[in-house]
Amino acid sequence: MAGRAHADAGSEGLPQANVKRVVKEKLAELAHEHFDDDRKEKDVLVNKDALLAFSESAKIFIHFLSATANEICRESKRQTINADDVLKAVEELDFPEFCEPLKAALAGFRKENDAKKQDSKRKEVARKRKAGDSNGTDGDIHVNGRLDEAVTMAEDEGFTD
Amino acid sequence: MAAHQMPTPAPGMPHPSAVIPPQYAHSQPQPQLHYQHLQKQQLQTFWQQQMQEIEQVNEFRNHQLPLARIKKIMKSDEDVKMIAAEAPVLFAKACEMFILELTLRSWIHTEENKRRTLQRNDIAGAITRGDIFDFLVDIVPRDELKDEDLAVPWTGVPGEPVPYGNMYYPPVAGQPMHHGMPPEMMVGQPALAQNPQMMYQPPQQGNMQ
Repeated sequence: MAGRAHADAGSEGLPQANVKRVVKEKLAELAHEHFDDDRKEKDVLVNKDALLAFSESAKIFIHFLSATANEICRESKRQTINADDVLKAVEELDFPEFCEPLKAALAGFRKENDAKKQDSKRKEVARKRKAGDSNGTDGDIHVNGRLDEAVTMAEDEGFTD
Repeated sequence: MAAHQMPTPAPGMPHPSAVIPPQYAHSQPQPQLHYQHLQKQQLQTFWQQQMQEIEQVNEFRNHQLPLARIKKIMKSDEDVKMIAAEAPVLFAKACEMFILELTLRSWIHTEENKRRTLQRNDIAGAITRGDIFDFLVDIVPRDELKDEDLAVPWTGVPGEPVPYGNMYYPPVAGQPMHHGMPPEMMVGQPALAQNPQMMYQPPQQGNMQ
């Protein structure tokens, strides 16, 4: 198929199952909203090539959005693409209607992240207390615990190079 | 509730007798039972709160698209170096919305052609309409379009049967459709708005649910 030859072969795409789920849920929603006859509950089928096209398109979208966000980031003389860069990129690519839902997603993520941090702080306090109660060298336990935590948090923070 | 003997309270837990409210102190024959009941209550409340918290954040934790894979795709571009933790979350959401938008527009194409299967050419058709999907023009190129797409766009004559109910989705010339709004509101400015022959129903404000 000529179409597929144009697809970006450089990177692996999104998992088909996930893409399929998003597409099919939307189609079901559309059928439900628009029809009052037997089509209302009937499945709209998606052929395999179409699914691939959805995946490929999504991948290209990510590349396009990344490149744009990256540009915006560079223009601000920064190295790390942050949330604002992404939001600006989305507007630049002419998808302004995405902005509000994205901001909501961002707020939710930040809230969840804060909750996680609170939680791990609580655990650390409990761990310290426990270590303090036990006999023997708690110094080692402390340091190891801390290090593990630091590594995990760094991974969680997602700072990649 | 099992009436077994309560073992010595775990370290840090209040002594059973300390928990019994004064009004029960004289009439409570088994302090251990009451303490168990209170503990159970406390645990119940605790887990209720936990579930509430989980449900609140679940809406955002419930990503349809895997963050790790998205990050991988982003990084396959050599120019992209450092990405803050928040970025893949936004990308996942944006990507999901993009797929939804593309699905909608492709579906319109499927319906216009009275098919029950969404095909690749429906996506190609959606891409050629409007400007916002121009970046995809190479992915699903025009040669994928079939004869049905190369026909003259329907301009409509009053009285002529209209595809699927009374709604006709005219080609949207560069006007992004608003995701999340009710379908009736999805119809943007028609490209041929001045054409009096166009059987176009304006969005029904009153139909919003």
